[in-house]
Amino acid sequence: MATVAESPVKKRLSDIVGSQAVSDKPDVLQSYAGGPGSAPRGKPIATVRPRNRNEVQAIVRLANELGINLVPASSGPPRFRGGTVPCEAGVIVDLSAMDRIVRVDRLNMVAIIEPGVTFARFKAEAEKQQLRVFMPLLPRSTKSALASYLDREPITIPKYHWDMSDPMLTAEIVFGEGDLFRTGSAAGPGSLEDQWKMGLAQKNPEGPAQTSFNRVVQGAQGTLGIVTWASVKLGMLPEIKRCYFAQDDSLERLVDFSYRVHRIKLADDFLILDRMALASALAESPDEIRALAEKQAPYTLIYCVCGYWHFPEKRVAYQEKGISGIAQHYGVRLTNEVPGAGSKRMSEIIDNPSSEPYWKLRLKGGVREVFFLTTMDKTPGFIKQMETLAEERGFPVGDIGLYIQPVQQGRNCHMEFQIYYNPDDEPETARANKLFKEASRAMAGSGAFFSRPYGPWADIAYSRCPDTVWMLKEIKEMLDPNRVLNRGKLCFGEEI
Amino acid sequence: MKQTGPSLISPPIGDEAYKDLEEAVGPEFVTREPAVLDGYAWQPLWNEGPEMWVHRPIAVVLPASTEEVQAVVKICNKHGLKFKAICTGWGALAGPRCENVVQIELRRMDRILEIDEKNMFVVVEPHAIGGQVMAETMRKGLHTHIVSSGAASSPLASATSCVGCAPDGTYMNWSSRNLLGVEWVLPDGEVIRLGTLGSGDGWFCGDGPGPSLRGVLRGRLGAFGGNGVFTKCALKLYNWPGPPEPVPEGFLYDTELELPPHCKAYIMFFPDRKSLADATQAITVEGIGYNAFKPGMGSLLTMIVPHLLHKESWKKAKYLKKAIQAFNYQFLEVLATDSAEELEFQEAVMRDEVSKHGGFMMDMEHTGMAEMIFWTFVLSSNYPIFFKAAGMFITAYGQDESHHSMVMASPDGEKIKQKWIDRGGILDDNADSGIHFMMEESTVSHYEEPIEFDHRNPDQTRTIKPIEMEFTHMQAEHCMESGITSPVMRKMFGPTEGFYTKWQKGIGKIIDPRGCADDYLYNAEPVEGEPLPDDPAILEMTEKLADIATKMAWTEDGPLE
Repeated sequence: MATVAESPVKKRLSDIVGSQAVSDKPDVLQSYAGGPGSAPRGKPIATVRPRNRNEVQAIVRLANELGINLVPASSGPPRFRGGTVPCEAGVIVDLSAMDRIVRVDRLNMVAIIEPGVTFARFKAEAEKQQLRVFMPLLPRSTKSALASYLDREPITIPKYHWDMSDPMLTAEIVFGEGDLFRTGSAAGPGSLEDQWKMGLAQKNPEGPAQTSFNRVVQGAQGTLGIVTWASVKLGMLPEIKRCYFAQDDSLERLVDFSYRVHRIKLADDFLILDRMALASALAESPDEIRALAEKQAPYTLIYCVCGYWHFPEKRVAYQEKGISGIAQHYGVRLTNEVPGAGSKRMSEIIDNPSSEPYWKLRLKGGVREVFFLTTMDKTPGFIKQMETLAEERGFPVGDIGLYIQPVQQGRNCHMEFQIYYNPDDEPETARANKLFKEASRAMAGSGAFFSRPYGPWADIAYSRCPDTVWMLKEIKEMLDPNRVLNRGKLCFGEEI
Repeated sequence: MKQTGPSLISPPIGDEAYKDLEEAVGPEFVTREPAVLDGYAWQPLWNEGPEMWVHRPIAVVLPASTEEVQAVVKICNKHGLKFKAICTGWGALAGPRCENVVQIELRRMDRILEIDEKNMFVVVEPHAIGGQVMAETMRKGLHTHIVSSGAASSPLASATSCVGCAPDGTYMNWSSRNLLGVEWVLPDGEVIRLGTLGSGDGWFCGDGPGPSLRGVLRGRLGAFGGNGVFTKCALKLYNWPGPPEPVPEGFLYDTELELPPHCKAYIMFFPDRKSLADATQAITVEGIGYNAFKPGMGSLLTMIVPHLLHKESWKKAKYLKKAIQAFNYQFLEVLATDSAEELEFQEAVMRDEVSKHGGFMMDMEHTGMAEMIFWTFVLSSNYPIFFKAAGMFITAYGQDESHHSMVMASPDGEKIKQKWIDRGGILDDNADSGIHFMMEESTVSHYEEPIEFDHRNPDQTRTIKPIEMEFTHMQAEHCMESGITSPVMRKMFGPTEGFYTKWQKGIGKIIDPRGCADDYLYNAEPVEGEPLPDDPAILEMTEKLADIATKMAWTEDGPLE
């Protein structure tokens, strides 16, 4: 691999951040090379680790001067989806050293975090003030909380997912030529400190004025700006949390139940797993997972009922009674345990990042994910489609996991198929990759909305919305005219 | 009544352009009849000063479909005309603000296209008004957020183009956050469909794939017609536990209809502002309230005893005023729950917080007013009554941030109001009519200060501009953005908000390459050399605003730390 050891790039980067924060060592670069989903076309030529926004601005300005491709990354490996893997040779802007939790504001239930803050750290800090961090399901331990929110990863509590941008509120962004910007009520007037003195808490995500660039940089995979901090919503840490299960052969029944529970905002955490995904979350070794999966019903709905800071028992009681009535109406049987987990254990599992090994890798060491947005009523149709495709392609249906996460208060859902495979087995890897590609394309044709179009999904998603592509390209031209930010991603490559 | 001034009348529309418009929508749906055009130019509400006229449009067209809207916009592009859409309209914001504007009147596009009961959204055209949407969705056990311009206003316009919130926000969010799929005719006449709609996947999501163009479409404020015409959109719906067809008897606050099961109305009183802020924040974060807000005692007086406020004896009633002010720290909760147990929980939390903070609360059923309060707010039918006391009003401040910052800002707003009341410039409502709403169970809170005046009285109308400017100054002092802006204000305060105008203008250039939209309220530059009004109050405030804007302007490195 070509190095940039003595290159002007390394020298200039070192001038900004210091030589110890720039690297072109092969083993370091390899850790950014991505996994099976990343389909890299370019390689990292160096990494640079800024410590503050001034350094980020200086790096972006240097990239404009020298024509360097910058690929922002905040989370640690493994990298599944390729958002931070370069499409063209480029410098990785590793933001993990920007890891301050700038503020946790109990009164206003909001925090400001930098990109290097992982969920585990964020959670520990928030809980000191009796606040709850909204998390995706079992994030990997190295996952940046801010990166997750920027990517619009679904959180496990649909009730508090009011809008697709949640729980992210305002942000500080360095645009493609190094301009600094702040979104929402953080835009000003005044510095953060001035705003805090007036009791403001960077809570209003909309604006400033007639734009909301926080929405524009969400889902952008670092192609439109580098976010140096964001304010995010926090919830009340429950005084009581009880986890329940509904196991069923019929997904349709669980879907009906789900609609009603969400309509009247009863449950907190709420998600559906199939037997293999559930077993992967609960057990660690492949044998244990397979054995445990055998004991489960095809679908398991998991929900939690919480009581907070006022009369927690009363709150839990009315919700339990309400949900129980709905279950009875739809013929859904509720339990407080499933094989391998009771209420307490499940609650602990979904309240924390994944233990090692990462839950999706436990069965076979590799996973290809097919995920998209749809509505709950359409989920059974996509399952049939996946099963048919898997059977036709000779891929074991039993090696595919399912995760359904209602979002936007149950108005739609994140649907995720997890295709488990052994990365050391070439034919199996090839079959998994083939199924991944064919299922992605087929499901898009059936109405699956690839709202987070990583890797090959970009072509699939953007070929269906030429008007959106036109506007996104114009916005890219405005924010990053010299195309220094994560070249070739989304619809900003040559092929679309 | 002041006549339309010559500066506000454009040369007539050319025959060729007019003929094109007739062909696009049919001759019966386009007019250049001056008397009709003046109906659009007379926009007293939210006008900037004593001048009650905005620019007279050169024609009014009434398209019936997206295709017809596109055709009209393309004709404007072809003939070098400007356009501006008006829907249910909210005064001068919806009227033309420059010369040569074709007013696109959307009242023929008034259909509810779909109610997706399971996935809780409704698809509407622009002129499907709140009351209409509410009536249809309530039949399915659902309800929709309606901003505080009331049930006669357009939910689509609120969500795509304007700004607003309401007491229902704690349960049903605020307009910009309720938007799902959108159909948008850009100022060059092309259509873009956002989110799932653009990919042919239905209406259920407005964001993606990848970056969300909802952030280009609008911010805290909409573009007020400056970025095109929104022809359809999907809006989130929320649970409605009441009856499918509530038919109240009576009018506004004189409404008679039984309370549905598990529904209540309470009013709480607190000893001071801080207690009010603390207690209501604690209540709302627990998810309590179907409608929840802090009304102003002054607002109640303007509704209940409007004539009193004009009497000399009221102006001198110092002790009565003080006594009334003692009740200013109040909060109204309209509860609509799904079970007796949920209602009991909500009542218990309220009682607990009221007790902790030394307040008291009243079950409105004990006063005989519960039904009236409940239905008035649930049906969003109360707002027109604000016109009753003085004939006209504006609201000032109009900001959204943390609850405490909003509540604790209100004394400064009251001081500004009192000053102008003392000068006789506005109606004396005891200066305590400030209101607070909370959205998304207190993600943000709202503060708005109603200012009532008689628009037939030049002594009062001339005070409105300086009052607005004082509140703009107060916004800057409180680190809040400058709100609905004129070109002069954008130029002045853009640098204090990260030079946002640079990026907003960039978007304008992308979507409107020929500058066809009437973008006075969006991106237009101030007219160079325009003389300032000679009113000393305005001159004084202009200097103060320029001063604070300079002081708080960002440098290239960001805000001054």
